[in-house]
Amino acid sequence: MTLARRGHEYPEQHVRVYPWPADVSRLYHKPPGPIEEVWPSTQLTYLGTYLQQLECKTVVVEEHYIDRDYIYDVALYYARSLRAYPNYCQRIHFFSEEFDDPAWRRMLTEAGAGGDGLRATTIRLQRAYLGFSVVRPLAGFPIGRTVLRTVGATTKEGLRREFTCIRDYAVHLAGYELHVSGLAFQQQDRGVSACATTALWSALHHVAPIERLPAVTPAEITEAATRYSLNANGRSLPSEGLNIQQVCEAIRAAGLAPLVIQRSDPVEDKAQLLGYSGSGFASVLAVGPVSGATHAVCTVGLKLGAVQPATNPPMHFLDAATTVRGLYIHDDRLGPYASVELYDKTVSIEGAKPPQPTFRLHTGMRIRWPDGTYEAEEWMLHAVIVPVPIKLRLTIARIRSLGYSIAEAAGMAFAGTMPSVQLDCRYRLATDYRASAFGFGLSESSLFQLTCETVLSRYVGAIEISSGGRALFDVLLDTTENVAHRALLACVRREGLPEAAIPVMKAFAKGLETVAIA
Amino acid sequence: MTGGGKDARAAKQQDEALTVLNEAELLALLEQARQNVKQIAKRALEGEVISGELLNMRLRALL
Repeated sequence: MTLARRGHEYPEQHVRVYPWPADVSRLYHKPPGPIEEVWPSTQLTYLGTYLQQLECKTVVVEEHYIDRDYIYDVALYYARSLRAYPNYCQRIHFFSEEFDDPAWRRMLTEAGAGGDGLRATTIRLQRAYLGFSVVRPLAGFPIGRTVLRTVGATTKEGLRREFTCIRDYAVHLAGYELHVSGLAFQQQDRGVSACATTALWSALHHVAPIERLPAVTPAEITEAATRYSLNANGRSLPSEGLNIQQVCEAIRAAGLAPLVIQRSDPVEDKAQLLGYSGSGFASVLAVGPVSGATHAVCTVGLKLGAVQPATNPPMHFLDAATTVRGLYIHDDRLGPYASVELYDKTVSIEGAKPPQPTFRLHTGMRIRWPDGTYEAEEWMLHAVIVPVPIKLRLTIARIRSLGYSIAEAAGMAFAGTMPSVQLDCRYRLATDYRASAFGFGLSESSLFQLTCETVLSRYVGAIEISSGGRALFDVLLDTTENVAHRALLACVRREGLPEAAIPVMKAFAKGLETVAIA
Repeated sequence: MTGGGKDARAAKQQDEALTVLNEAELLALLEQARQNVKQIAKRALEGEVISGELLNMRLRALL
């Protein structure tokens, strides 16, 4: 007698091509047992709707795919389950071009025929490539690492979409190297990760490669988050969610600094979202009903409209924060790039009696569901948690507190001579800023001064003053300092500043005790 | 008058308007601006004050 053979075989690999199914959930298996939630799940419905919007025509399925994030989840959690969870996944690739299995085989033959065949086939596939989704062998929670292309640059209502927290992912499929620009999303599995884990995982996916830090997995996030602070029920796994302090712990363990910003009024909240997400720092948003935060999502981009006049109090400048109308978020209850509208919500202040104010404005959020309706419950922004590089100490709030006076002074000085002055505060990588300086219209000596004779921190805080869509000047700040007025590096003339206005900028530079580069 | 002529005159007027203030007046303007924005500059820093209650909020929304 011989025992049954275990562990001798390798799993099989097949790459198969299918037409885009009208119902994407048909690609996935319904979980066994009584269904706890709806099936197909909201995430699958959302994925189908989103890919329909991208005009997906064909799917290519890799039957065997080792996913780094999932295999860590297996090592930490699933390997000790009675059910034999495999350590590999499947992966689905999405294409906007229609082709079938014979056509796929022909493409491979052409690519292998030498000459320009491989290049031509890669270009053809790349043109139609919409991204991929890893399918985990977890009943009910199949959506693993998913990177999809973003939607177009403008909304139906004419608002601008700016996906500022996306990056390039190289994808290898059957010998082809394809690329997709997006931000990784995955569904919580309720074993290793909850919403806060996946939101933070997405946020770290953007900043980690810029800072040359290794990408952390959901398992590593959960372990780091609960190392020193246990959950309310005492154990870290299965994951029962993280509190904000634990999210901060996980950010620290990833080699970054956690910056927590509590909600303020809607303009300041939008300024934080514009300042951090607009500068490419994907953030975790703690959101929930008025009573408190219960859910975490990750910001990927912004929805921007026209700038609004300052009303409270009236000022001599416009604030770029008022252009923020909405967000694009990774919400693991839905999917990637979910659309959010921001609005001002009036909330009464508990126990307050006149003449004290009895209400205040908070930032309300309407999250759009796959069927185009909005979440029934009114949600609000409670906090923004930003994983930032450790040396980035100067906050957007502090940059703005200085920026206000510079914009106000410029608004008064230029009143009647040009359209209203606008204030925008961002972070810029010094290398990018120096590279863009060639287009600033600086004199020969000033260009030399900025590019060869001025020290800049790795990230500079930029107070950007513009008018009528044309940049006038920037005030650059050293972000390794934590007080804005002690962090001034230079005032830099931009292409939109008329010659006659250079003395104005120089006088402001003198008043700020910094150098003018014109 | 040609369009170019109009543009040149507008630019000249803009230049004249921009050179009305001298350096001392511009520095005074900067100081006045600081006073004007004191209230909103303070408001900008409001979000940096974190409550203990916020740090303990558990984020675990399930469908």
